[in-house]
Amino acid sequence: MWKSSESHAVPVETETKVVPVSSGSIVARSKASAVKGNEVNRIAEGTKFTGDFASGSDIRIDGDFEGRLYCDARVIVGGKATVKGDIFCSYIDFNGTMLGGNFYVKDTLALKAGCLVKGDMYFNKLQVELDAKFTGKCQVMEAADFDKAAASMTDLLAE
Amino acid sequence: MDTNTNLNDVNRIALGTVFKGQITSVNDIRIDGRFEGRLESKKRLVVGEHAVVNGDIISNNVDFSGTMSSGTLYVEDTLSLKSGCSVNGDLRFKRLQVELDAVINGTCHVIGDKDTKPLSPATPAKKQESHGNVEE
Repeated sequence: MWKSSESHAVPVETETKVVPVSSGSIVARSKASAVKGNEVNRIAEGTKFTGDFASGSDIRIDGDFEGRLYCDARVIVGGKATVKGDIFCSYIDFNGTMLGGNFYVKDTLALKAGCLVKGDMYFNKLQVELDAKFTGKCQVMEAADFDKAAASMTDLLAE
Repeated sequence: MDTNTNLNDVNRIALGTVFKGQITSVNDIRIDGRFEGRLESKKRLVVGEHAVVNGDIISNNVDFSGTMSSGTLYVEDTLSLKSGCSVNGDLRFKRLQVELDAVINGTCHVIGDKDTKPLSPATPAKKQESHGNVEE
């Protein structure tokens, strides 16, 4: 009996796995970064943020955001969220409402079904679902142009 | 923090994040990054040990483990200063709990029934009772 329980106690050799991150795929990235709850920024429903926000980790917005947002990672905007102002990020999944401002997306901008966007969009890749509504200019942007546009926000983070 | 609260209902400013501006929320807030400005929460605010806060904070309950460089903490119920925290500023609260090794440099006031919430940073709240300076 306890021989079998002893065998359970033998520590399993832990492999240090290097998960390949393909820069182009959001799915691959989200699986690779097993982020803890406290490492993700959140703006919950019923919350209003006004100001400048700069971060190196992911952010999820379900409330109202007004101002400038810089995120050197992934941004998820929930269906009930409203956003006003410039957003600089690497990836964005947008379900909410954008009341005015610009998107500067280093990699992929994904407009989900039911979202509403009023503003200009600069991105490397664009994905639009059926029923996503947007009015504004769309333009493909190189990484260097992104860095130039986001310079004021990266300064805030470096302070 | 309640264990039954949905993770998505809690606002978070993660480590490595800088926020300058205003936050108004009906939900809990956790700060691990840097915050500058004005914050208002109807529920609980938790300030993590690496967090740096500068500005006016109004909340119902506050658990403070981080650093406050300047500003006002207005806590409608319990202000809990944890071991290792450092607070420079004006503290207003109904109830106060201080752990050993919490550093406070500033004034402490108990909020009375007649006191009003400081609606803008310029509006000073009335003093009711002074408990003097508390150090370490």
